[in-house]
Amino acid sequence: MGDDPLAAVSEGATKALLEWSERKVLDFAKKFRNRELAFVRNSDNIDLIKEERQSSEFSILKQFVPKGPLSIQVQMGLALRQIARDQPRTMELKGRIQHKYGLPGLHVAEITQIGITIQLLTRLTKLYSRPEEVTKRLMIFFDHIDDLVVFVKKTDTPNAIAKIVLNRIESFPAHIVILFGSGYAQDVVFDILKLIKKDGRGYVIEVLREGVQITAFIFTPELKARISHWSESIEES
Amino acid sequence: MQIVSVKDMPSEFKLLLLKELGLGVDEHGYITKDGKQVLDKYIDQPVRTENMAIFPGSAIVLDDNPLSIASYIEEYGEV
Repeated sequence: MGDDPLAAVSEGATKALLEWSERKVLDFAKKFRNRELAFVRNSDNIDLIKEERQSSEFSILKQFVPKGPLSIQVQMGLALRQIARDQPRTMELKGRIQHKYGLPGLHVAEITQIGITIQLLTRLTKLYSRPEEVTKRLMIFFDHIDDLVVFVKKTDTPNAIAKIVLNRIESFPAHIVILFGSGYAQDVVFDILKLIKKDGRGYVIEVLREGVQITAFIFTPELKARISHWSESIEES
Repeated sequence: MQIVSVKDMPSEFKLLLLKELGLGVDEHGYITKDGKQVLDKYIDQPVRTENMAIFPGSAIVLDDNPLSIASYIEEYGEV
């Protein structure tokens, strides 16, 4: 082929033409009408979706997340996790999710992306024995996601966030609030949890630490009796 | 179901394929049906030939992106 770019382009175009023919296209159209094939731009996106739908995480989630918008948002969260290193593709997908489902829909996808949804589901299945009840509680949680998941920043004031958490955990029927912090915000999360722990109501707190991020699940004490085991308490961490 | 990538399909063959499926292309490169731009029903946006995905079921035309494809599979089942 040599160094001649025009020759390279010409060769590429010739190869593409040779790979396709009128007969081949007409054959594809016939197969399409027989529902034997589908056309995509390239296989990246369909492979991405097929892969996440076949994942063990989605096989668990789909048992409790009904088909429809929330299921799509959850799937988009798993897809976002897979393409996280591809910033332009990630930003494009986030834009589409927000355009379609609004900010709350994007937040459902984002908490699924960072693993909070499956962790929440694990705890809900410990709390409620009936699958229908787990689904109901998960739906309530998703409906109020912007209030019940607090993304803590390193500049946040622990006292102010603790007050917000206590207010929301009592006023929303899910009776669960999740705090998430990453990097320097982890220390702020711990300060908030210490304040909540001091409250006489006796809130139940469970902490998960993974790498540079911390996720804390806070429950009302009424739910405590339902739980037989906590993996890690705040005192131990 | 076989999945065929049309990324490298020459434009004249894309036009032929679309014609066979009862579709066309307007002067801006958007796919049309009966002279009107076809909207991806999941994102409410017109679909360009270079980014098209077409699935069976009265030739459902989508923009090839994860949200539209997941929505299609959710509604119509695995492909």
